[in-house]
Amino acid sequence: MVNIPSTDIDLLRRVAKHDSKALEVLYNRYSPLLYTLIKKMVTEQSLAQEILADVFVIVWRKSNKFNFNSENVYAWIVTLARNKAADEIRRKRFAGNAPEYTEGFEDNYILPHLSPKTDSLDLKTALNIKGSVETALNKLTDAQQYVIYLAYYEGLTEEEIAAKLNIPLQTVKSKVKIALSNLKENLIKGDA
Amino acid sequence: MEHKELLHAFSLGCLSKKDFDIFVSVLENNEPFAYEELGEFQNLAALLPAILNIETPAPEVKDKVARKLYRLQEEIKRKKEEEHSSEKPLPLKPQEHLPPAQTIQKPKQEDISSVFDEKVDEEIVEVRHSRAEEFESVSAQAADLPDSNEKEEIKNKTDDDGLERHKISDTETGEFEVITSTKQSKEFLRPPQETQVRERLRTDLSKEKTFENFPGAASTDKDAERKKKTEPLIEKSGNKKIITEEKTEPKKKSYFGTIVVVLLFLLLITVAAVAYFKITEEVDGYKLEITNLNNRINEFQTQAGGDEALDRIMNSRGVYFAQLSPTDFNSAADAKVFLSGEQGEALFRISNLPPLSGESVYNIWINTGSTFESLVSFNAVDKPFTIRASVRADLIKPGTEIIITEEISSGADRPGRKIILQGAVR
Repeated sequence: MVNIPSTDIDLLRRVAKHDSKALEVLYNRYSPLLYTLIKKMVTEQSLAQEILADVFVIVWRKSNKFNFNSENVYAWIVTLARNKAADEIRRKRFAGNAPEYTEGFEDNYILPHLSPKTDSLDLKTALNIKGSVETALNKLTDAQQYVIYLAYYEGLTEEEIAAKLNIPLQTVKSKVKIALSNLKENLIKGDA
Repeated sequence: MEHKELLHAFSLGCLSKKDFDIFVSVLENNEPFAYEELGEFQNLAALLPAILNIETPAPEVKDKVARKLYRLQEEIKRKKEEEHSSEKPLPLKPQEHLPPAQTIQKPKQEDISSVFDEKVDEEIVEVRHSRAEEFESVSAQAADLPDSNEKEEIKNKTDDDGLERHKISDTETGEFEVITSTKQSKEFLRPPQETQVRERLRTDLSKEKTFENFPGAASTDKDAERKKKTEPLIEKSGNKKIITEEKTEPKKKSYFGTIVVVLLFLLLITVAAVAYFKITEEVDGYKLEITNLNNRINEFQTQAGGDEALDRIMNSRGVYFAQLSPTDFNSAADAKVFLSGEQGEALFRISNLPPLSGESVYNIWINTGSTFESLVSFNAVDKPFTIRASVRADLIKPGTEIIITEEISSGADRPGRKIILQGAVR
C-alpha cells in the first residue's frame, strides 16, 4: 500500500514521475472546477468533457514543464484549462485559419507561463476565499465586469473586444488594466 | 515600462499574438520585470472560476481520459514499432534475443506499484502486449523521461517484440506469436491475429477503462488465467516447445459472440452519430440566431457611437433594449430604445418618422400594467434623431410594452388610436 501525498504539488510531482494514481487523485480534486470553467467558456457539454479530458492528458504529458519551485499548481492547472478552452473557441471562430496544433504551439500558447515569483495557491485556499472574490468582482462596474468576462471566458483578445464593442483599442486596454487593478484592490480591502 | 503595460492583459489571457510573443520572450529571457505583480494578477485571474457554481463532470469523462492516454500510448508504440521494423534485420533465433523475465518485470513493479492493487503474476511474462510494458512505453516516450537507462531497456524489449513477430511470420502458419514463462520455460501459442484483435476488442468493450487499466496496467493473475485458457500451451521438443494450434469448440463460440458485440457496437455508433448530427444542426441554428442578434447589437452600438447619454446608460446596471416596429400607419419608421433601470432613463433613436404639421405631435407611452403612462411628446425631423425620457425604474423590465402614437395635440392622457410604432422591452 503506497501513500499518495495529498498536497497539489506532491501530486503533480508524482504525475511528473508518471504515477497514474496521482493523476487520478488530481483529476478527482480538480475536475469539477475545471469542468465548470470549461463549460462556462464553451457552453456545449460534450465539448467541455472532451476538453477536460484533453487537459488531463496534457497534465500527464507536460507536468515536467511545471516550475516546481513556484508551488502554485492551482494557477497552473486552471490557467492551462482556460487556455485550452480559449484555444478551442478561437479555432471555431477562425475555422480553417487557425494555426496548426503542434507540440510547439501547445508549449507556447496552451501551457501557462507563470511568473517565477508567485504566492503559492491551492484549490482549498481558492475555494475558501471565493466569497471575497465574488464580493470584489461585484464591486466592479458592469462595464468592467463585462470586459473581464469577454477576455477571460469568451477568449477574446483586446483587439477583438474593441471591435465587438466598437470602441477604441486603447480604451479596452485601459479598461482591462483598471478592471483587474480594481478587482485586486477590492479583494485586498475586503480581506483587510 | 511598455512590457509592464501588458501584464494585466497577459494575466487575463487577452493579449494579441504579437504582444503575447513579446511578453513571453521577456519572461523567458529573465529580463528585469515586475514578476511579483505579474504573479499576483495571474493568481487573481485564476481565482475567477472559483466563484462559479461548481458542476461535476459525468463519470465517463474519467474513462475518456484513460482512453485518451491509452490511445496515446498505442500510437507511440506503433510509431516505435514502425521505426524498428524498418531498421532491424530479421533474426534467425529470436529466443536468443529475449531478455530475462526479471529484466522486464522489475521496473514494471516499481513504476506501477501505486496504481494497481493486484500483483502481477511473476511467472508469466508476455513478450508482446504486456500492459506493464505499455505503461513504461508511455512513461518513457510520451512524457520524455530523462532516465536514459530506462528508455534503453524499453527499446530493447520493443526490439525483441518486433524481432519476435518477424520470426513467427516466417513460420508456416504465419499467424502465431510466442510468449514465455520464466519458471516453466514454456512457450504459449496465441490464436491467429484476427482472433487476437477480436478478443482484444471484446475485452476492451467489456472492460471499463479506468486510470488503473490504461497504459501500464500489469497483467494480473486473472488475466494470465484467462490467457492460459484461450492460448493453449503446446509442448516443444527438448528445451524448446513445438507450437501447434489447438482447435476447441469454445473458440468458435467466442467468434460468434465477438461478432455480435461488434455489430451492436457499430449500431450504437450509428445511432449516436445520427443523434449527434441532429443536435449539431439544431445548435448551429441557435448559434446563427445568436450571431444575428450580436450583429444587431453591434449595429446599434455603431449607430449610437459617441452619444454621451447612451454611454451613461450602457455603463449603468440593469440595461435593457427594445426594438419598436412600425404598424400599418407607417411601414418605414423605426425606433430603438435603450433603457437603464439604475438611471431610470430611456433613450429613443428614431428614424424615418415624418414631421407632423399643425399642432399634431408624436407621444411615447409605456404600459404600466393597468394603463399607459405618457413619457414624452415630440415632433419628428427629417433625419434620424434621439429623444430622452425619464422612466419609472420598476417599469424597466422584460415584457413592458412601449408605443409611439400620433396625437392631435400634446397633453393627451391616454394613447390615441393611431399607433405608429410599437414593441416590448427585451
